[in-house]
Amino acid sequence: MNALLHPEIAPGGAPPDEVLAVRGLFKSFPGVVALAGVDFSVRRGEVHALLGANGAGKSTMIKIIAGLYQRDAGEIRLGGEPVSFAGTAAAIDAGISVIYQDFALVPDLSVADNIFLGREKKSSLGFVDARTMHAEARRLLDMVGAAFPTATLVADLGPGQRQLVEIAKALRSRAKVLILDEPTASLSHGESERLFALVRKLAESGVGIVYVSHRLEEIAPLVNRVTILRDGESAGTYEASEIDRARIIALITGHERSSTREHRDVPASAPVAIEVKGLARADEFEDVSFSVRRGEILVMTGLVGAGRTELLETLFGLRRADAGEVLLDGRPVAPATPREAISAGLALIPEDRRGQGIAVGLPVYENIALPILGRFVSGLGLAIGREIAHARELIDRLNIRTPDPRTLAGALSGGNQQKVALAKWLSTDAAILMFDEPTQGVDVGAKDEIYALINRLALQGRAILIVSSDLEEVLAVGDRILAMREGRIVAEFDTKTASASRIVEAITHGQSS
Amino acid sequence: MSATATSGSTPMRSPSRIDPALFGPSLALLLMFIIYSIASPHFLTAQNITNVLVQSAPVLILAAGQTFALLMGGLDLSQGSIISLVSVVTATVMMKYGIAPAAAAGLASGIAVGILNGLLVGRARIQPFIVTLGMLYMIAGAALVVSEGSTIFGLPSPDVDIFFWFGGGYLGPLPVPLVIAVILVGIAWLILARTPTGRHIYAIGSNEQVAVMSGIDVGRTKIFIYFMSGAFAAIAGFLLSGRVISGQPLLGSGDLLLQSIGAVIIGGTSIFGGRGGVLRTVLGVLVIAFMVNGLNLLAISTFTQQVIVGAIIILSAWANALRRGGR
Repeated sequence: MNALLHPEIAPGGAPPDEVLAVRGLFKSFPGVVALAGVDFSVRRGEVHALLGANGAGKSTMIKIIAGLYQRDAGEIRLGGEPVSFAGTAAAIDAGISVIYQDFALVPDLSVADNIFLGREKKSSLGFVDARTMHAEARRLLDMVGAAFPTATLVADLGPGQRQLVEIAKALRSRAKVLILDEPTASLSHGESERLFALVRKLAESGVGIVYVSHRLEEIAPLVNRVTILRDGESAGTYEASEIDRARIIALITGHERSSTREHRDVPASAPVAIEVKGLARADEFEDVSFSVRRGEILVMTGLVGAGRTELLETLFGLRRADAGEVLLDGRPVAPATPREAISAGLALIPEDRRGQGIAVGLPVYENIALPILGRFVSGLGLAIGREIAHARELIDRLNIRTPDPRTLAGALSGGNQQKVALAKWLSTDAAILMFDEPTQGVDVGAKDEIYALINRLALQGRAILIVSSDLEEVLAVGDRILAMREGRIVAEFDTKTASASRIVEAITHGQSS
Repeated sequence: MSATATSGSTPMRSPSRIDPALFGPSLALLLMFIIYSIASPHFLTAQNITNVLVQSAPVLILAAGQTFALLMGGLDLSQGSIISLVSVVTATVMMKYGIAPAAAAGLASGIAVGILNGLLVGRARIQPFIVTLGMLYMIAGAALVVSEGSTIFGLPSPDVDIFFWFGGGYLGPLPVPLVIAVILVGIAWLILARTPTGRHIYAIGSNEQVAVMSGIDVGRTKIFIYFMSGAFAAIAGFLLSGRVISGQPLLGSGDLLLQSIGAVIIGGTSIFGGRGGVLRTVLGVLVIAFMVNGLNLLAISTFTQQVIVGAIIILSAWANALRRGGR
């Protein structure tokens, strides 16, 4: 309906500066209609935000444009010409570059090798011409403002630097359209700022940029236009200047956002569930002390590399502390493996959901039952019917979008995979739940659901420890906030009186007023 | 969002719970039966079918054990050597002490190798390929050392008759090795499909890091996997040497190991782990066994047969890749 309001995407007369146009794109997977006739266009030199809930069809559309999936129906025009890509190589050759959320770089190869992967420069004898490749890679890295040497292994780079390598790779293939999928998900504030500047520069040079993000605060200053997808259809395209945040959220979710946070007070008399005293690990964090009461939500924030993930992994037995003490209900514990941590009552919902959170090759119900398999043992082995019933209940409770509990977890969209990772731990008896970036890559609607869920867990008397880089989230969910910088806790805030600027000050400079 | 979730034609239940991967090998088997029945009058007889099944019993047992290793993304190259070791240890002990201690010692020697594999993979965290390749050599050598390089003949009576009963006897109308194979496959199926340990094996094969983070004792599970593979190989070795009523240091040095891995792959279990199962393996074993039998009946040389078996392994892996990529 909204599409009618916008003449620039009506069929027919395409504006001459339209570099990519998609009309009536349709794609279905077994049991799911992913795209039900999407219209979308990108102009030369614009930054165009593509927004939508998890499962709205953003990823599917990007993958079709990139030649990774084949469309069922519809039309794609590049520079006015209809195109059809048999594979990703054809799309790249035509000038479409995609930077995926989980970077497509080979960790064990150098930066230069990665930039030229599949398009190696060859000498006249057919050997790889390393000299030319490194020289060319240097030029590309300079263009994106990266200072590290081209011989560096990608494994040694941080997420922000990897992103720059990806962009250099896109420049190498002379991209006309650059699609960035959640580019700031793993970047620090400073790295994000540098990325925005680069994105603007690229757009000014004439590249059409599609920017997919869940962080709405990034959208306004960066983009020219906004397109919102909902349930596989376009819910409208707007000039960024004529749409506000509330309207965007309403379009994404299909209803006005309800900020119904159940009221919750942590009595000062609530017993301390976990107390950490002087915990340290060489080069990662030192002298970390804090405690969380039952029913309390503590949020830990900081820049990438501040040592937060390492701290959680140490508490969960994945790493060993060099010094310090952890007390659960007043009793000292030192879990050496996640197994011991789990039996002590801890749970960790990790940041890297495809790598650590869920097994994408296993069905949803098996993932959910994994930590509590013992409960489903009956006379004749595992009671699979009960496992599935248990999964159904959680699927309903968390509003996980899956056609069936037996669907492979890898077939779900990112936010729904995250909900599966959450569901795994909800039915455990864990008294202390640790979340590492719980809503990274999760859409606004699902974010609210996850916050409500965390809130309910706290109401049940569980202690919650959240690590988050998303300032909006930090201020929204916690009772108390700890700021970490370079492995140390530098400030503590009460959420009622905290402000974003003071938190940023603390995590970047290590002081607070 | 929940209001619109039902707007599509989303089926709420998947239509069947039958493993779709069983379809390919089943079809191959069916086609083979039809073609061979037409081509040879000797193929579709009770005698021939029974013979094939009895002969494939040891491979069936081996491949069932091998399935455990492949499901976790590993493999067990030491199975053949375990057969040789079990054969010579059983025969040597039987010479002095009779069948019962011989069976115990023989099976224990094979299981010990399996547990050693498991400790090296699960606790020392060495790659399964390397551990079992090394073990393949060590145990093949050990079998030659125990037997001093020669076949152990002339086992004492009546022990030798009991020994033969396991490898070639009958339980009523049923061939003993086949009965044992069916029981072992049943046990393997139960463990893999219905126990937490089985589920842990799939989880490790699918994503080991997720398994660790879910509180699974990955090391212990790996030890169990190689224990199973070793135990099954030991039983296969016991049956095989019963059939030849002797201790042979080269009994497992032929292509038994490759057949066991090949059968698992033909059945459609992923060599990267996480997908597959022992019933698929049974089909894989049957495909190889009946293929070879039919070719024999048609008087096609064993050399040509090898070419065909190899091609089937590649074709079936290809078919699986196509099926998965087809979404």
